Amino acid sequence: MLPDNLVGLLHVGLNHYLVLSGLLFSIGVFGVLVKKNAIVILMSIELMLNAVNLDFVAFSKYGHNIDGQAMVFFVMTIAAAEASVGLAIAVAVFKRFKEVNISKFENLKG
Amino acid sequence: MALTSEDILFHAFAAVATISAILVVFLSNPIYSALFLALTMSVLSIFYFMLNAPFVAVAQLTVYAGAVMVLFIMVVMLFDLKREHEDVLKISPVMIAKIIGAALLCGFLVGVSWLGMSANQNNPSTVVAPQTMAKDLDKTKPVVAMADKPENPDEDLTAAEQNNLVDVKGAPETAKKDVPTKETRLSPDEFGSTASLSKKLFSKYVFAFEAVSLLLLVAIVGAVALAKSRGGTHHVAR
Repeated sequence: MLPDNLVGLLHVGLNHYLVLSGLLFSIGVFGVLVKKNAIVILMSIELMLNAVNLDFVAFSKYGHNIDGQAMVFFVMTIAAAEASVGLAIAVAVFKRFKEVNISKFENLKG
Repeated sequence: MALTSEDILFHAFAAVATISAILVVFLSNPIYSALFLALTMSVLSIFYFMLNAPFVAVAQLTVYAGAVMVLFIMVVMLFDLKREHEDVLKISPVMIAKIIGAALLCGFLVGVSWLGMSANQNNPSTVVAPQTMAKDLDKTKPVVAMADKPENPDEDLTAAEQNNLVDVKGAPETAKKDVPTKETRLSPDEFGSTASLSKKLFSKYVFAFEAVSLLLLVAIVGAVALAKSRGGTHHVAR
């Protein structure tokens, strides 16, 4: 079958979760930087928050400390509040400008 | 040494999560982005189950994959986004700089995690922790009593000192000097259970818990106020 070296590398540990979380976080950063649609930018922010949550839970398991899960609980609550307020702002902006492309409303003065 | 089913599941789901996250960013239709984001969040909840965090996993499913995604999809459907056609990868100096920046961040995060992995294989301090925990289990008091007990400053101090020692002297000290703190004394069955998490939430984090409830109230009021307003403080002459 697979060589022992590769099996040892594929054996799931804390660092596999860290690598996955790093990937998801950088994809989220990339989305925030590159996308022009305000709603997709909010989605990318949610992606970044989820990546951090995965880190919290992974450290909570491998460090045997349940505080990480409590922190995820708070992050989730705040992310939900952030999403609702952010989307409400997006709705207001869309009503005002008929547009969700952020490059179209660079000057937000009334 | 063979691959366990957990390993195989992890890698399969990690591939699904990464690909759907990439699709969130690269698809031009926001509805598809939202659906792939829901997929990513569902897969993350599977990871939480694998990490002994059932409460967090179910909360992830209901709050993120349920509520937040419904909100996103509803807002996307409110908007008429048919004429949105953006070129994600339009070549310009700013875009190249953004791509390079994101790639550097990705390389940094993944590289640090990967290097940490090779360091961990030489000195598996995270693997040693359960044994120390099991050894100390018999001389611990019941978990309920510990949750009610106030913080013991001496114990925390020694733990902090140990951490400093580890930082200064480097990795090889970690395995021997790993002193279990109060939290590490939970038994393996107890760890990650909803009961132990809620004990923590309602004792140590009770103030934060109440503050979060206040924050949710403010968010509700703010969202309603924002959505009701007709394009901000100024009316537009249309």
